[in-house]
Amino acid sequence: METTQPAAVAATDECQADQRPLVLVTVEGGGWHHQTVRILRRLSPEEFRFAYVYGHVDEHHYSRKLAMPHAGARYPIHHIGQTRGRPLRHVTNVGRLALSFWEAWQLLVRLRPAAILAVATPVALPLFMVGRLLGVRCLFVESLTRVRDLSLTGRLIYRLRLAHRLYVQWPGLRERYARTSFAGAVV
Amino acid sequence: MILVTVGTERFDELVRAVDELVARGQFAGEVLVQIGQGQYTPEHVAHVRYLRDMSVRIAQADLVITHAGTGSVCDCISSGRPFIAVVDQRKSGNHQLEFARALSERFDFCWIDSPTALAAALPQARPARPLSQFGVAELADDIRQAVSGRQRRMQLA
Repeated sequence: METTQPAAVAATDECQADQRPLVLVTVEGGGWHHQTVRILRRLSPEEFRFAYVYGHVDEHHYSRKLAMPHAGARYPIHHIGQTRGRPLRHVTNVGRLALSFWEAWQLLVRLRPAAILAVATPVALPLFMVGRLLGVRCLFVESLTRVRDLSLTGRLIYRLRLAHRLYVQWPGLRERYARTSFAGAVV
Repeated sequence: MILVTVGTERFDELVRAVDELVARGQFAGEVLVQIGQGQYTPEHVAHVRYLRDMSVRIAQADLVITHAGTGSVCDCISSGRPFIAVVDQRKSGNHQLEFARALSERFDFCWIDSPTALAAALPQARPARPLSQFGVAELADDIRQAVSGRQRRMQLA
């Protein structure tokens, strides 16, 4: 695990006395980023602290350049290995899976977030697995594009019961998967 | 300005279709194509890999031709600008087709299932018009309560 902003981490440590719950938000590119931003804009920094975790190792990757709301020194960015578009890597590649676990463990023990919020990102898998062990609330929002079926990541999270809440964005999906929630959509 | 965007990934078929339409003089006015990670480089039209201020560019465009990804389509919907969403059927699980089809039940907008239909669809470009309401405010509110632990019972999903 690499921490990109040491100064920012120090800032977080100073915030330990802060009573606002820390929400660890996963970040990836494409429409997921757009949906994440739309949701975050509705979550007040007066109510929550935020930290971001990227599922990428490549520091030149475009998703590292995406602007996030509530950004700045107090909202540090972390990443725990490349997963984008390859959720199966975490299942089929034992070494990759073990490393993700270890990285997720280190990150979550250090940050102790109240919740992890993931909008359809595969990096949610190792984070949620460890998060459940540590008593972190795991919230997964399935992508808006998933109308009739869950994504592979979504299905794994559903089957393994990794999320406290698995939001779908279409009522039809809610009917098909009984343990999901529908509360609205990012449109 | 006519803006063409493929989002953060690639959609060479759309870029190629636009390139051919420009070569045939189908567009009146300036065209800019954002090609993302595409391999095909257009020969007849200005292009860039990425645009940082995509939402602003969309809001200023006379016409937007976009891949049917959530981010771009939602930007187009909220911009109020005329647009055409083009489905990339090769995206995983063909989810763009499902998305466009489902979204068209909630918004009136122009979408096509293949770049080959682009020329015929150009006169159909129009701003999206909502057919029903359901939104991000309610979703975010539920998430807020779930994070704060204020909900009555955490359901194991």
